[in-house]
Amino acid sequence: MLRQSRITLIHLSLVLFAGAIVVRAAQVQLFQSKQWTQKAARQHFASTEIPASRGAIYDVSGAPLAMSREMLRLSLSPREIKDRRAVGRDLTSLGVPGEFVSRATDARRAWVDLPGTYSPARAADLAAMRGVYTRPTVDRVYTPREATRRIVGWVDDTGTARGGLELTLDSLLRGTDGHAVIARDARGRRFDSPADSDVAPEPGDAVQLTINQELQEISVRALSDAIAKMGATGGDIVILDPQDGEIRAMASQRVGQPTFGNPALSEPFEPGSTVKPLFAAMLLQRGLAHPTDTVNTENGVYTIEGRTIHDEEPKPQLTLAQAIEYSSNIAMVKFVSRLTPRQEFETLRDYGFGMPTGVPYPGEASGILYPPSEWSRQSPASMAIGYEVAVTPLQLAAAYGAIANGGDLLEPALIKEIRARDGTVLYHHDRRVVRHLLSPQVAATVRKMMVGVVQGGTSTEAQLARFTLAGKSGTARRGATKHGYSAGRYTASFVGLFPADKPLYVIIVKLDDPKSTIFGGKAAAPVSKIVLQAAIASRDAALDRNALASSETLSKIEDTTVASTGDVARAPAAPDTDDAPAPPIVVTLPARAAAQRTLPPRAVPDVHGLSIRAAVYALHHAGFRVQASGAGTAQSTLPNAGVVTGAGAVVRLVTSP
Amino acid sequence: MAKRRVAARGRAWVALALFGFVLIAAGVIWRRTAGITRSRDIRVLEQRRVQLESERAQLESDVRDLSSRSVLAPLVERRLGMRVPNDSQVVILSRSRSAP
Repeated sequence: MLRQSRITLIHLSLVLFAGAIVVRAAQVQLFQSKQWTQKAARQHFASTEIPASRGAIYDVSGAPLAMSREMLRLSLSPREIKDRRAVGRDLTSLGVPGEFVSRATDARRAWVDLPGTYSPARAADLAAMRGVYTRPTVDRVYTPREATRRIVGWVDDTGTARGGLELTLDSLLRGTDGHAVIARDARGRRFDSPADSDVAPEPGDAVQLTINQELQEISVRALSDAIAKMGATGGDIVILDPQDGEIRAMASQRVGQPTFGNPALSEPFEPGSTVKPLFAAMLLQRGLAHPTDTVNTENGVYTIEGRTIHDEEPKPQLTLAQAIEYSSNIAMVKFVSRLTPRQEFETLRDYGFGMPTGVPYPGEASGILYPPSEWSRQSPASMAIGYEVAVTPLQLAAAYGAIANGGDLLEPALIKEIRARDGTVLYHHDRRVVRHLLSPQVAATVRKMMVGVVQGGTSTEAQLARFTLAGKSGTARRGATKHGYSAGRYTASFVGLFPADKPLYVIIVKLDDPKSTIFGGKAAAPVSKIVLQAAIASRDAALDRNALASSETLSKIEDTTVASTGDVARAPAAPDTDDAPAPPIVVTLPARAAAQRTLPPRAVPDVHGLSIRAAVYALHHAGFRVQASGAGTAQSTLPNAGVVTGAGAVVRLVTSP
Repeated sequence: MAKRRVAARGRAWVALALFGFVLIAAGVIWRRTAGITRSRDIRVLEQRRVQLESERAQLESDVRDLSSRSVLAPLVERRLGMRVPNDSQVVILSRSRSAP
């Protein structure tokens, strides 16, 4: 009886146990299934963000200025690390600061995030160790870093754009991040999830600037050398293509003072005598003056409205052309008095002074141009010689662009083209006329006056041996911190139109507070000569060699004419032994070669899936040289499809059997 | 006798079914294991590709930096005594537009 009841008890226990299991199973499966499924998914799968590759930035000839590359951020779980000594050694070899190496190998800590990003190749051994976790991130590589930093801007360690075009164009450049589901095994090792739920990242758009890297580097170096040589506190160089408004170079440097952004766009200055040709052009355009009109220049001293104006070269009288050549303040005050204050204001406003040029760059200044209602009695005279008005170097370059191109004020451009990853053109810069200011005849007349400035006036030190340069120097007193002007402090500037007959460049050189000489014609004009000589000698400085060759011929004819009339002052300076000219040879090449060399940069076509023969044909047809090996079908290209690169560049074809 | 033969045949079928089940299960497990192994290999190769691409970008950047004018110009001036030529020392090759 007792035995029977024990058996019954055991059976009952077993039944209850089985029942409990069934109940628990039902609870887990029927009522808590969602919760447990989620927990399992959290343990087995992880969603990881795939950062999008930031769009590249190229110069006008297709040379990369900013590229992206994938890097790693490292985090460590010290408690999971088995070989702390090896981890410490690897971290040290990666250049991790000692403080973080100690933290990363301290078993009392649960988690350590390391600062900075690390090359995947260098961190490969470390990343394979237990307890080391990696996150991909995109790093930015700039080339050449210093020369273009003020234009391109930069991206910080967290991938946030912090300045320049990186900031302005951030929404286009940054792309869209993707994400992937990664499965983890029992030991925490990661592998691709069988579930195909990945979302691929969309890379950012590629941006091509109007800047020419070669010319930019030439400008940066010339400016740096000039600032050091002249003891200046800073300076700017802007080079603009006056035919389409594209900015070719924009260099700025300040000594001993932190500057943000690009001073060539953000720091206005009083232009001094460089406004004189602008007024002369408008006087001619309005029919209020003729180049041979003469005014009394009072032998260099003239008082108007209580202000005494001086000329550096005292003359009894000067024509308008001579007033520009000798940079006479008195003559220009008298000529500009033919304009009403309203007309004087409109003249400067029409050249674009007092308003931003519209270049897509953060912090562009509008300069200063007061309306006549706010002028003093001295203002008309002051403005005629470039005071009481402030312009940025870019505004001045754009204004002179109108004289260079035959009378059109163009909107300056910094961005040439924007392309999507698949090669679609999203934006292309076209010449944009803001307003028509001058007739071509007036523009040509003013250029001729400016040639006189370089050949026999205030800026002979800018003169080139075989090309005619039109130019104008400016020397303006610098404003004091509080009120008025500082004694002995000047801004020396020079504007050049190169070559004078059909300018390819407008070049602005500005030096702040030079010590060795204060005059624009002595301090800034030689810098323009250095830049132009280097550009002529350069392989690629965005110069149309055909146009330059024809300008050279014209220049030689003009030189011969000058020499035959015996005008020694206007003849080019005698070259020293080092500068002995090469024989004047102009070699004529076939037109076909010209067509090939002048091809603009273009996007690499997508040849994925084509036969090798068809892919090579497509790439050749698009103007690239092809490097191919292997057999089968085309898989991809290096550079990738859609990347904008120079015509004639080598494209490597990656094939798959 | 006949009953015994039928029972033996039944056991054989059961054994065969079990063997088939084990075979199919082994196949499924092998396929899954192979898939995971391939997936791991792909991940390793993908990481390697990323490493190499990153290295390529850095090397290309280094080459461009080192061959840039700002690096080369001071070097050739100092070491080789070269200088920027005067504009009169540059011969410009003009290309005729009318030539065939």
